[in-house]
Amino acid sequence: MGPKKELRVTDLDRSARYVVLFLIISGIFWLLFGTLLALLASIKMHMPDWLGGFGWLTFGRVRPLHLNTMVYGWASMTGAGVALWILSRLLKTPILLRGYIMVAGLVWNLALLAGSVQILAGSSRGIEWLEFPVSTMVVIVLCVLIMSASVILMIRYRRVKQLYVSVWYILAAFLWFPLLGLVSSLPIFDTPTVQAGMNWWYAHNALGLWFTPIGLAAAYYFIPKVLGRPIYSYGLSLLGFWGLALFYNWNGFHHLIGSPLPTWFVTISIAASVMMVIPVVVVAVNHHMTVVGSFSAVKYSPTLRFVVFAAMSYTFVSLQGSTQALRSVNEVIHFTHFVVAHAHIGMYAFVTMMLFGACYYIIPRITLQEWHSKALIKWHFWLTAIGIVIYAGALQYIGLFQGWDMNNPDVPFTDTVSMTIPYLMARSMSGFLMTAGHLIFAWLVVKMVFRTGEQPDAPLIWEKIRREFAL
Amino acid sequence: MTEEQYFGDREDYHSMEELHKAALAKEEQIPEEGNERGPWWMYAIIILVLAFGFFYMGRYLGEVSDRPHVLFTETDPEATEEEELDMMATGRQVYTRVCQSCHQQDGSGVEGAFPPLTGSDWVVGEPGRPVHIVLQGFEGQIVRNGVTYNATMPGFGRLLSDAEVASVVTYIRNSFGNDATEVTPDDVMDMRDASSDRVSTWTEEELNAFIENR
Repeated sequence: MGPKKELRVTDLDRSARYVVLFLIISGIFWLLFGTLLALLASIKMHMPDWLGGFGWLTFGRVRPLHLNTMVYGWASMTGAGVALWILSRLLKTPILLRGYIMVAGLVWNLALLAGSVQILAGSSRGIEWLEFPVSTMVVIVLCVLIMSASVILMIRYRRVKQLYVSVWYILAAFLWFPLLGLVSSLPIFDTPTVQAGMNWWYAHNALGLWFTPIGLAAAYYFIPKVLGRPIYSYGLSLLGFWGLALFYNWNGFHHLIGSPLPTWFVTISIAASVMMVIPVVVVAVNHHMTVVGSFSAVKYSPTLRFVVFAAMSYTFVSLQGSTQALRSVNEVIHFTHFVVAHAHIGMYAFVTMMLFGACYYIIPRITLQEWHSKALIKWHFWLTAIGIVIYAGALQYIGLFQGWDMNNPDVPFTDTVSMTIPYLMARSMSGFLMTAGHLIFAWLVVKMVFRTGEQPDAPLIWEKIRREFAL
Repeated sequence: MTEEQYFGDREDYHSMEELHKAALAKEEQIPEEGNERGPWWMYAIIILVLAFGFFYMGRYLGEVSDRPHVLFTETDPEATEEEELDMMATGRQVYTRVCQSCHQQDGSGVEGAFPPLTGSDWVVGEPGRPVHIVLQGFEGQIVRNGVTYNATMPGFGRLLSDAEVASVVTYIRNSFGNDATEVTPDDVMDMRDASSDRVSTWTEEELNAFIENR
């Protein structure tokens, strides 16, 4: 084909503009909707009668819908937008199949809407992480498949020789997720034990093979990009990627310790969960050694601040997960609030914070607008960071005691419930903090994208970093 | 480097958009990755984790089959010991589960098919006979008190542990008006070993010959 014309960054970003913005803004809409549901569900934990008169607002519908809108609305759509933008930048290729992706995004939103109505109407599938009806899931997977096609085409027609580590993760994610979604939608899991097995295979892999690779791809992109420093080691990048690919997909069955699943299933899963320590430590070393020495840049770059927080959370939550998989720990903490908090450290402190960081970098470049307020960005960071720390701290602390007491036959079951109430209230409080953060974020994005109000007359952040670090 | 130097002269740009474009044009590529090896303790962790993972799989893999495996749900040894002391209770449970449908709740059997356990000389006599019948089963015609019984009893050796066989034999030797010595799990283990090459069910002659030869 001969050498292709070198595309400039400005051209790439201009062509990415509408697709990426559409996905990110759709994601933010579902983030706000999911946040509202989260607050409802959280408050109902300590005020069970509140709004109990409306069937469609009962806990059993609000809580699964919160999970599904956050996972398939916010994190998946925004994650897909971020991943496509990173790919376009790294491969020096405009995002391909843009028109199809726009249609896919629209259909995806409609599917989410239809699925939400069905869950609120009471027809949930009753499988955690898969409460949406099969029809909604299949439509979402087909939409992702269109993006997968775009990813493969972009790699095929790339204008660079080397594939950077973020590209590996993104390609893998766009191949793994459609597989997970389609297999879990097959009508073959009809006996209870097999269904439970599929359930945790799917749910754990949705985090591990879809959100985690996108999150790590973002970390691998933004840390060196913002700092202008090379990633510490190519070898460690390789080791981390293949470690994740090898070990993560076995992890889910550690949720089924003590179930009628064959023991060898569960044992292999626990061993693989522990072996996840390898890619996690390797990636942590790789990121840490890249940041070390320039750590103060987190003060100036909102992107870096969110991304570093998220990368540290990834290390923490993964090491915690490896520990939780062990039978001796699992028999205490499983079926307590500890695991709920663990899941939120994964999906919020890691995935969501990473996506916030990515948005702070991407949106100014594709809109050619500037964020309106440095102070509000700081508020966004601290509200969400403190919120999730309170959330995780309160629930994991009481989760331990709840677990010990549930295993103690001398303690009546109701005591193990009532002891958690003050901590459930703390959870609701942290929920309000995070909600405030999300509203600030949404307001900043709306103001920027729809160009309302005065533009600040100088960029807020960029040159400061460059001055500090002489890049 | 000052702001002006980086972005050029501010007056050159008429809007934020132009300024952004200029900044974008100057944006640098991601630098190529380094090729460091990483600290030694990282490799130590990798080796330890691999060693643990393979040890764990070897130690706790259990039986590789589609059966749910009870490797980790055993009751603690103290509780097991107490239960073993109460052989009559365990024996009753096994009897209810395995034997009762044929030999009946009161051990009276069914005329023509299943012989009674009540007052049976085989049940209360030499313990080898009832133990081996439970282990390998029994078939063929047998006459007791003028009544002919003819049905096949399957062996339960693969289904019941030594302790369960000992318990259920002890139970039938001391219930339904019977009164005989206890059979211990160790006795059953010896007898199981002695007849380990026996795969088919016993007939009356074979069993008598086997017991007399021992």
